[in-house]
Amino acid sequence: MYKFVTISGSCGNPYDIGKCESNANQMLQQGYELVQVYQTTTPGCLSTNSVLVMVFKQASQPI
Amino acid sequence: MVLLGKKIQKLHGSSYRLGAHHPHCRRHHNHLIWLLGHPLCLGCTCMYSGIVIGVLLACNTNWSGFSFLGWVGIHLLPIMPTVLQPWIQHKPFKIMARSLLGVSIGSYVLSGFFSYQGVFHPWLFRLLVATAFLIGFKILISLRRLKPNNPCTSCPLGVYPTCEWNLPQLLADNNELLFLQESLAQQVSRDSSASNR
Repeated sequence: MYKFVTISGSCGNPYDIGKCESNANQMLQQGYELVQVYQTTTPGCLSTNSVLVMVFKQASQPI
Repeated sequence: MVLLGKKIQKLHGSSYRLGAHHPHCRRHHNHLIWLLGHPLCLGCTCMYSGIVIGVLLACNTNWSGFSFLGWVGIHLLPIMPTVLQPWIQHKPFKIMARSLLGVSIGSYVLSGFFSYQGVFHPWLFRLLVATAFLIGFKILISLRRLKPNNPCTSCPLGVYPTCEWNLPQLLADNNELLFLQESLAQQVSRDSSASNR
């Protein structure tokens, strides 16, 4: 019922907001609606990396 | 902060072991070096060790015997394995490449700023050394992005931090996020990932 999509930045760059939108649109076409967004940071080699976790739910079910 | 109409919530349970910079699962073995049972970032560990060696070598080298091209060449040559490394995902090669990169950086910075008598005014030479370093750094980062190596891609356990390998930690550290707990338990598949890398 749920799908997780992880979007991470790299080498000090934040994750790409445009990529988040295109993923949300792509998932919507597959029948999944964005229901929750989480963010976390992970220590990297040069700086911390931001990671976005998008949670999608099958749109046919009540959200 | 809001993204696509949803309030972004903070997620815990996704930090790595100290100095590891990567998950210490088996799929990341190419990114880790284990010392006394502790995982360390292979790239950083080898590079910083190489920097120490490079600084020691530069301190004990008589740079007056080097021509300008010779000095440039002796610092460019050890970088070549790092240039090729994105296409050669072999752990011993990566260890060698990162170590030589560190040796080159340590020696280049120390000799370029303090020891080598360049062909220009000392401060102009130092400025050129710093500029060339930044350009080289940008080129190496760009090359790495041409051939990304993310072990989470196509991992059957999913993508870190919501992968099955990290699930116990994620659930333990996010007790208050009831929706997360419920949605993790009802995941359809674990193959969705999208990385900038």
